[in-house]
Amino acid sequence: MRLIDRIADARQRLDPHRTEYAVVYEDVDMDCCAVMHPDPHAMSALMDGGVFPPVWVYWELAKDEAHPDFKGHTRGYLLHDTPREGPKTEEEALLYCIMKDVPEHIWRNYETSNSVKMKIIRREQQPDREFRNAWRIVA
Amino acid sequence: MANTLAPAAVNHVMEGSAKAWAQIDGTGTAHTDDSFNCGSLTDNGTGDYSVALSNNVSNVGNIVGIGMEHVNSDSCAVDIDVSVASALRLKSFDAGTARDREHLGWSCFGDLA
Repeated sequence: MRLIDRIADARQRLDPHRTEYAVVYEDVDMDCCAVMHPDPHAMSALMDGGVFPPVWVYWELAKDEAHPDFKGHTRGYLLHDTPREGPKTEEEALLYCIMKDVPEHIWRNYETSNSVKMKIIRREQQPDREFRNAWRIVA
Repeated sequence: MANTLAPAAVNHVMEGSAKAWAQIDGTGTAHTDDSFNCGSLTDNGTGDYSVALSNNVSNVGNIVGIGMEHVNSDSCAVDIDVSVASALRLKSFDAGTARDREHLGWSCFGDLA
């Protein structure tokens, strides 16, 4: 079954899971912090298992997209045919979303870099927009 | 006699269907009210949202339709700032100034990876 069919099937079967967590990150070239919110349908599919491929599949496709001669994906079969990830806890699903959708140089270096920062917060800890546009993460 | 029309009709429907879509509420804590084939929503700043796809589209030539609520102002605009095969970035404006929207929707048509 193709990935898109598995996603559609999971969306029909599962209630969306709106996690209480969000991921805040920043880099020196960003005007303000970015806040990543996992999609509720993706979270429920990740926690149920059997839908998504391993996250390295997305990294491989990202490498293809970054190539200057990229015209279109030729390795989409990796999404569809690679053995699927099993059920995950909410924390594991959140980490999967981070490694898939947050730029790699952010999550790979945030613990050691002076310029890159990332934190997992509860959604209610997020300040209002007025403050968020001037928000920087304090180490 | 074999029915050769049914598969073509199915293909027609599949190729004409949105491959991803979402309704975004960008006010307060930004989130998707509902979605299909989306992995996450990133709030980059006022009126500036990125959506990562779960099943990448095949290339950047896919068609994206977008719309948003009308507000009482001289002008409203929303545009696609960046669109790659794995994500798209939307920006909404009000009279030239970035502004959050409570109702911002988009859909993506084309081929999947």
